[in-house]
Amino acid sequence: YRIGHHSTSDDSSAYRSVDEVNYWDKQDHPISRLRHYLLSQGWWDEEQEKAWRKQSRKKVMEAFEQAERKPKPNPNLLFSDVYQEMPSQLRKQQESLARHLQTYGEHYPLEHFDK
Amino acid sequence: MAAVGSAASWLFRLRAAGAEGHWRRLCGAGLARGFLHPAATGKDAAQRRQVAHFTFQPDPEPREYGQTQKMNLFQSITSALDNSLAKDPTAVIFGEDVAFGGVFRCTVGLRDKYVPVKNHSTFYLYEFDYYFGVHVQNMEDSCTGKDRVFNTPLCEQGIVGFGIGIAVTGATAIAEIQFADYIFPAFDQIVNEAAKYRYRSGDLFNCGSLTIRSPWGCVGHGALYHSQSPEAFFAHCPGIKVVIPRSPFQAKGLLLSCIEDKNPCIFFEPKILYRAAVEQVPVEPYNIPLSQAEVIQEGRDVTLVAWGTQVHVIREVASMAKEKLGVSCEIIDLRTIIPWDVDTVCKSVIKTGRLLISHEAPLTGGFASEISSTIQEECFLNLEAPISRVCGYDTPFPHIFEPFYIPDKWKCYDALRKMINY
Repeated sequence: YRIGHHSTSDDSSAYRSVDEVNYWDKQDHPISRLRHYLLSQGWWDEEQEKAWRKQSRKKVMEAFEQAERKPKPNPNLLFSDVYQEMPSQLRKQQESLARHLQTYGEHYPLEHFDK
Repeated sequence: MAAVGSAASWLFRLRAAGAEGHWRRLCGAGLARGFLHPAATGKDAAQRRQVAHFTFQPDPEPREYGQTQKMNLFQSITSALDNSLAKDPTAVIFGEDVAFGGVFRCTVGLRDKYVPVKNHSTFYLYEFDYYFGVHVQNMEDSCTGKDRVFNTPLCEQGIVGFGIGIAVTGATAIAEIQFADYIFPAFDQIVNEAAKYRYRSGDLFNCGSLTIRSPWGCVGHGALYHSQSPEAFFAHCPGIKVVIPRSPFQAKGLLLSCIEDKNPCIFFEPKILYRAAVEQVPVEPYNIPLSQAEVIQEGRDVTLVAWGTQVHVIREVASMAKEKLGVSCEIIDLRTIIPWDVDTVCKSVIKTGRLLISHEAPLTGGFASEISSTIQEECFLNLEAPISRVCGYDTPFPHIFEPFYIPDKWKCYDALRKMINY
């Protein structure tokens, strides 16, 4: 079941009831059910839960920060992989962009892209 | 588990602003920021925010159509659809998610406003309730066939095929394809059925009361499948009309003309303008003629032709040319792609001798090539320089490379400069 909205531009309460979503989120969430089962079997506990949550958050945050620091790929890659081989017309377009950026580069977000 | 649950709840509680959120950068309003401590520095924030490549230029308030109201593009579309449903009892609107108002809010309020007509006979429903015995309920005759605004399955081929069927019976069918990028499953229906209906039956039958509306063009983050401008594919198909407005006022008048036109029409709506374009629009219905280009600024030295969002780009290029080069540009909004207004463009090029055409769609086989070919045939001796086309590259529409892909004002300006110095 899709708890979240379809996208950041979506407000799903326009086409489904909040009660329905809450049911899946609070009462019948498969992951929550698994957690309760693990707890009841004595294979998991609140301590581990807390520690695991903290660790996961940290891992994700670090991955995010690392990724955000990386520059985006070089704009030349705009022209790659259209075909297996690059047609000559496309290469000419690639060259024209390169020339264009030499003159007008200040108007483009080049600092975020790989040199 | 609980972490996921709370994140999910947070996600759900996020009151996304509907269509207005569509072109917010994902990271700006998405899961990451709520879930995690934002790692944003000023640099990261700038990475996420993308300045639009154009500035919408509203036209002066129209005087000849009565009272006007400030509307953005999606509101002007709603207004046109509202007018249509009001004056044409056979008009119906259908597509994916149109009932609740549509993913871009173009059909907000219409389903409820045009409630089905109640039947004289009411049905009685006998309901056997486990605890309380038998109930008797009135059931209004509000189902099948009586709704004016309704959802379809996720099937573009079906949406258009169904629309053709409705139109052939004589009713007014207004179909929506949620993104122009998704129109291709319906391509066969449009090209082989809709476009040829009148011709193949020797005018015995037609589906002229079909209009297909679809969001079109780049939006800053649409990538391969939410940014396309497929007008060139349809330009190659006699029997249909293709129309693209540049503004709310133009959109309402052109859409009403498409709906009333006796030929199947495709109306592409520049999605980046849905909220960004605001101007005064008449509340009453009015028509803007199809197949008539508009000279929105007169000039002497060079003719610039575009449609949709790109009209605003070339408007800015014209200012730049005036300021930096002392060049006077004549700007033409083509408005109807097919059948296109050859005479207006010819007349302009005969005067200026130079032509620059610009569109987001890829260069090769793009509609600029048709304009270029016809103009060099008709106005060869008037040309002072080769016709210039500033278009997207011959690649799929990229995601993060969008700022480099689109034919922005710098590329147009540079091409204009070269043409002047030819």
